[in-house]
Amino acid sequence: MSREEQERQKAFLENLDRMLGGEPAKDDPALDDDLKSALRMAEHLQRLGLTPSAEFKGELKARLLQKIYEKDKQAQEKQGWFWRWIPRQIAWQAVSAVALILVVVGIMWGVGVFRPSHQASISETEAQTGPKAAAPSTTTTPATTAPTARTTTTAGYGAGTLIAASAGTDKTSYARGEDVKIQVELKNTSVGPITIDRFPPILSLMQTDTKQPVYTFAAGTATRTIAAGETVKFSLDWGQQDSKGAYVAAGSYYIELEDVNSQGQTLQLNLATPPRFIIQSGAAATTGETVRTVTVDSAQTVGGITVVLRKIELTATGARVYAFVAPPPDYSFVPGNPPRATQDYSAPAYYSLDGGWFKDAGTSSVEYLVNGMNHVWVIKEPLPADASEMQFSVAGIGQWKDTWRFTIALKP
Amino acid sequence: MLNLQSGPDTDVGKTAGSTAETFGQLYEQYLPKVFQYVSFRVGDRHMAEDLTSVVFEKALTKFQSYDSTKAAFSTWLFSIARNTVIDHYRASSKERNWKTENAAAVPASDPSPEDEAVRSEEIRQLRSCLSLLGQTEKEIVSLKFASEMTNRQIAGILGLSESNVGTIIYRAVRKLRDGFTGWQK
Repeated sequence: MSREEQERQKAFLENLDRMLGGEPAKDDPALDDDLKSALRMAEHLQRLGLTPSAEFKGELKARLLQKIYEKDKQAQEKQGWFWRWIPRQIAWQAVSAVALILVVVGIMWGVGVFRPSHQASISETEAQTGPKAAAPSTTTTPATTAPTARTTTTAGYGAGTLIAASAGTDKTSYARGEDVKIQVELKNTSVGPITIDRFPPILSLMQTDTKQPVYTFAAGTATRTIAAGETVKFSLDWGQQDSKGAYVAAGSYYIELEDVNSQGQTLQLNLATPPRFIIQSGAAATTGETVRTVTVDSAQTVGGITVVLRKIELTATGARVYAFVAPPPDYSFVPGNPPRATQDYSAPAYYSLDGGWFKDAGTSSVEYLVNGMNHVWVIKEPLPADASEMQFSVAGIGQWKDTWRFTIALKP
Repeated sequence: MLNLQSGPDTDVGKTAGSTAETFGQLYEQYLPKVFQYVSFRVGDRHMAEDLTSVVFEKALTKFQSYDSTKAAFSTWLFSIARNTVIDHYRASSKERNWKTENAAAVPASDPSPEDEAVRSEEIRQLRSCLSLLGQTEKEIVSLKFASEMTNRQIAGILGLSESNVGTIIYRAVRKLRDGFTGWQK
């Protein structure tokens, strides 16, 4: 290459780097028409690459972060349980060591190692009176002790968790038939947004003794994106019924969340210490003997979905309404214990008697079947003995927002 | 837990915090460039997304072994990207024709349908011209224009001298210009 050509190349490369660096073009006397046209070509080339879509960027990032957390978790599991408690940084190791020494010294002081013998006996007396009257714990654990606090709130912040899940109930002890109000919070602890494909997630009520679910709320149908650091909440009311509408036995129960899907990836939703509560023994307010059964067997098809209202059981304290719902077009049955659909089909309903005001019949308990669903609504107030007609409206089934109306003659 | 080796290198050595935080920052910094480079090489958005995912998954797997005293993170990452593209072409036996990305995916400021059609045709022609370059020329042009690397960084990745890289860019751009001017006429 001649010296002149080397100079031209140098001028071209310098101008090219300026252009790629975003600097405005200068009228460089070293550039002849040939080089200027080459630089215009370079401008074309600069525009040839594509920009990644935000969706791709977010999805890939979530996947990579999930892998990092899984690696971290695996690494922690490989470590012994003891070393897991040892901080990595020297400063924290020193702080931990000092704290440990203080605790040991405190214990030794407490048992009287550093005191004369008569002081040790006083200490024993104090230990039996004062310190033992400890305040009740505000958290429940899966141990056998009964919960004593009004609210249970626990959180899962496992190493493999991109979403920190916490859940609580409004009480820790319920009379039979009383609604259990559940609130769940999901916090995105990752550094980017996370999209949950079906929100809210699947939530199961578990019996502590058997560790088996007694009722499962299927996943919602919404897609929910949670920004980094954002917390979303949802609440559910459980009427203490299983999927067949029968009241569950008295005893201890806890809540479990199922992992969620995020754009093809599974994200863990662990409640490190699942909130627990007690259902007290005794007759439920609405579980009285069936006084009379009204057979209905009336079908309504709205929006392509058929609801068959089968019967109403009247009790001294309320009523139970039974319906069968043919599978909607998007219905997908998932075998398991209990079996469920891939999304939530619970149905709110309202009723009125003899043309009066509509009242809330609650949301149905759902038993998912291969060929459809059984829904049960529990009306928790007694129906007047002289009521002759009931209007019963199913105001939506899952995401299907139509209304199915039935008129039922209550008198024989 | 992955550990990072500190060193005099730019990005990684300076970044403190957990692996997730560090890798997350590097991801934010390099994803657009890697994606641009890969899309420049394969010419198809979906394929570029697939291969970019592979690049970052490989980078994550090998992150523990990355030594910032030996190479800049960008050099290391683009070496992975380059090898991933080469593996892709090797797997498909021969280099595919440079595809035309559909016009909708091309960044443009609210262009008219006519402008989009012209732009789409221009891209098709550019890719056609690029296919006339040799393998090394194509590599260098991609790294230069898509990832905006310096000639020294490109030289580090390809094992060439910096002046050699400059000469190849100079010649390749003029060659492309000649082919592209022919199309414009």
